[in-house]
Amino acid sequence: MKNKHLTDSEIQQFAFDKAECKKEVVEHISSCSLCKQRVEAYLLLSTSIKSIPDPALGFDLSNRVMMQFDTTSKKKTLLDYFVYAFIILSITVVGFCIAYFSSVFINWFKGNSTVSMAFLICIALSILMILIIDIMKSHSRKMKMLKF
Amino acid sequence: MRQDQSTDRKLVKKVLEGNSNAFKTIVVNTQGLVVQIIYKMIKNQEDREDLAQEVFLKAYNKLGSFKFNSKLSTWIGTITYNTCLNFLDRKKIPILNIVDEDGSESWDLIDKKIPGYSNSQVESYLFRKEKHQIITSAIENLPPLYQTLITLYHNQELSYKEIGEITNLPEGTLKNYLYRARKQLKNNLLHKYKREDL
Ligand SMILES: [Zn+2]
Repeated sequence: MKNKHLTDSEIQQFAFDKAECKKEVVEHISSCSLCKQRVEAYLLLSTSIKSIPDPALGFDLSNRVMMQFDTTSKKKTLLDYFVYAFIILSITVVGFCIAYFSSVFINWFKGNSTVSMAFLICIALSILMILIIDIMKSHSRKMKMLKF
Repeated sequence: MRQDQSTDRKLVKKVLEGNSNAFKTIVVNTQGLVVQIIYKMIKNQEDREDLAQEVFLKAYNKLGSFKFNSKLSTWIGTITYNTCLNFLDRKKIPILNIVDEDGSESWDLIDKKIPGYSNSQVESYLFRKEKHQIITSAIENLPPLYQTLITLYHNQELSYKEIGEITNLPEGTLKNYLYRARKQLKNNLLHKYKREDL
């Protein structure tokens, strides 16, 4: 056993974690030039790895990250304005239509019974509700997307 | 270490108070580590660039949950490693390829295969004359996890504790992987040398 050379792990342990080495390993290396050379080869390999220049991205990362923060917050406020403008616009259009066509509607409703009129109002209200819920949902989804 | 901690605290406090320049300082201080990990884990340049930005956006959003149990750079290193891990997982790329491990003692292999050349001649030629590029390409042939461990240990000069925190590996496993990584790297270099120069 004593004549056998050290294993690769023992060689590396001596090169990089000397404090953990067994006494036999240290003794073997001090008396065996071949194993000593193998330790030195690993130390040279380590030096060669250390001398490799650090990789670098082709752009300034810190600027790119900060720019992204700026555009995201701008996008956020722009989207906010867009959603609110859309809601106000739709309310105005609906209000305008109701005002404009009210006389037509009144004449038309006069010819119908109160039951069918209630039915029509119910349908109109539920369509309006669905539309509003849909707008709110897509708004919150977009907001979530922007929060990464 | 103590000074690092107080600098980290000051920087994080400033960022949380809304000072974006403080975050820029964090990016500048830690980008070396982030880029190293990404370059070792990910091969495609476009993906590397996207992931580097993603890491810092994540770090920014999670900064409030940082508890100062480690250095800020180690914490950002962990985010980087996990982000790369998720990316590789989505692409079904393994981080460790156990199949191509070489069980035999590589020194013996060289002794047998290059008759007439003594160990010392081969080794000293090989390790002294290797150019950056040859070593870099030999490292690139290792699995992503081995590349990352080699870089964190030899280039970033992190302690086992810090590497363990970043990769979530126990110290024993970590050392074992590092031994295997260096051995595989040495074998790659020896084989390359044998092909090209003899
Ligand atoms: Zn020996």
